[in-house]
Amino acid sequence: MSDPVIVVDGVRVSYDERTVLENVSLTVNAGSFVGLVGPNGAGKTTLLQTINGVTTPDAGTVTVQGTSVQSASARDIAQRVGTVPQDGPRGFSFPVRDIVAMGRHPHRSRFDRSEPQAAITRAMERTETIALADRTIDTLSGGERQRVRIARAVAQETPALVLDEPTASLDITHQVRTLELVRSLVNEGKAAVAAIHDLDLAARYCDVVAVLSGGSILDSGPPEAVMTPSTIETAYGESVDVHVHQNPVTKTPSVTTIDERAADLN
Amino acid sequence: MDRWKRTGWWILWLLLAFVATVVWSVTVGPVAIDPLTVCKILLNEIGIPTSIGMHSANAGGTVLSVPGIDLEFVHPFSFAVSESAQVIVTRIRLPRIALAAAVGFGLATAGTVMQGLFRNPMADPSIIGVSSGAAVGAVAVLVLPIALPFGVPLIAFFAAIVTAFGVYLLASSDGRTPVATLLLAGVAVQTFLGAVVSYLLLHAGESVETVLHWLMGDLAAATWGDVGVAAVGSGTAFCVLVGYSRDLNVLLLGEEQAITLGIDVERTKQVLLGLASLATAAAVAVAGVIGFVGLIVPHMLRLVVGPDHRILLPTSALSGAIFLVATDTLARSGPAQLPVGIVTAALGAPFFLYLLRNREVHQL
Repeated sequence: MSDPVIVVDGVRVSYDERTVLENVSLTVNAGSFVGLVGPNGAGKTTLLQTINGVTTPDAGTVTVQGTSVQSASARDIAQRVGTVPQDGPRGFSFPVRDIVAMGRHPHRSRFDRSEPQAAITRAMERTETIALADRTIDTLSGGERQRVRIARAVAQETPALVLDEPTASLDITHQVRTLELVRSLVNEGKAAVAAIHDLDLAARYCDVVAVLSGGSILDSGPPEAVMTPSTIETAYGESVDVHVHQNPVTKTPSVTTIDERAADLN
Repeated sequence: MDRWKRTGWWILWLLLAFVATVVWSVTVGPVAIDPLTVCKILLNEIGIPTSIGMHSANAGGTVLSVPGIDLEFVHPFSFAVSESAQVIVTRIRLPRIALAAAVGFGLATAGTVMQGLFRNPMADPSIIGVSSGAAVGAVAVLVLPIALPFGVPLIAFFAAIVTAFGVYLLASSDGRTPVATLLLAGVAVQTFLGAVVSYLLLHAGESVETVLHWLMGDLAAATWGDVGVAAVGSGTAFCVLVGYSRDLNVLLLGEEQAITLGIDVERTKQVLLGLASLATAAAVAVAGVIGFVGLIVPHMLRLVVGPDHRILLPTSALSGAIFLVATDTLARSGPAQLPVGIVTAALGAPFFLYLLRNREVHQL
């Protein structure tokens, strides 16, 4: 299971005069989970947006299963890439089942009046949101809403999955539960790419970690190879003192950072 | 399946309420006509189309002339009613009621779509300047000493469409039209056109009363031709918009999420804005500026049936028709006949304040 699903090649994105991404290339294979790490403003979200069609690159190409994201219709892309966005507007009161059903939107014709219940129920069972089916989205907690957004992307039944900070603002249990779920989807053959702030979680769940800094990919590869003090210091700035050790429980790299200026004050 | 049943029931009940409102409305007027007679006359008017032809007049049935097309009807009922009552109902009251229904239907449809598209509870059918454009067109025709070969509605309609298109262009750059920009451009253009209307009013002279009636929304001069314009405009827009119900639902998640769920956001926006503006322009062109129907009716229905446009759009449109028929009946039932716009605003504004106090308007 190593067919490339998402291929980003030499992508450049700039807003007005500011270049956000410069010559970024990234490949995500089927059955592989790629974690994008890097400081705030490094371009992680923008890179994800070039994959799901929200942003069109100024140069370079992005293909998903051989289909060019730039030239395909939104519908064609949405049939191939499922997106789990960060928390968005929720000033409306759709029941959870209807929100998950929206994941089927790219697969249905305008005149299709049937309800694709099977795919919706499957997605809700998978994400343990079936008990929430009749609750409205505005009555859920942050963690529950996150699971509903994942359920929607699962209902999309796409070969590729894009997740923007899936663990942000979740408690430690929900963080692990969310990434375990993504991991199991990837083990079934999906290609997933996620922006993740927590380096330890990225190291624990991802097959490949790509370090993005200043709009370019600094290094990418297996967590053990990429997460070295020098790479992380380069990415996050020289003012942090980085220590990498092996987590005794998960046997994956764990990063501890110490602000040198604060250390000096002590 | 469950939702279709629910939608069906809602539509059925609203249709019954609509018929009841129409019957009540027909009984109201200087000459009192009892409900039974009204029902007989209405049943007499029911026609079943038997053939469609191009200008093929037939001596047997009544012929409704939509430009170029003739429809022939067979009337299954023929109750005996007094001729004067029949004339009052079919020539005077029914056109006005039908116009109120078509205009209310169109404005509520447009309002529902605009609120969904803008994700803004203050959005109304004229948010991109349709009514202001129509007002400038209509007032110019009424005030300026120029003779035109066509009437107020046509000019108002085209001025409305041109304004909507202009606002859309002003708010677009690089092939994108952010709704926030669209909203602000709409407000600015409405303010500007408001100034033009005010200026024209200063020079209105003798026609000032006609102009004021138009600006307040008045259905008194309703003709079957007006009904045709409003019905075709609202009906066409509604039928296509129903096909976009699911897209409107997905758009409520925000444009970025809508893209990732397969919606061509910019093109969908064009279609929705175009159709909502068409319905509004057709309604305003024949009825004048009627406020609040397109703002409060969708809110009211959203509270009752929820945000799902597959049920919200048809129920909102029907309720708009009921609401405007009822308010117009009140408007003409008093000793002084009021423009319906005054009644809708007088009833609508307090209701809107009630919604505001209950904080429900924050939940689109």
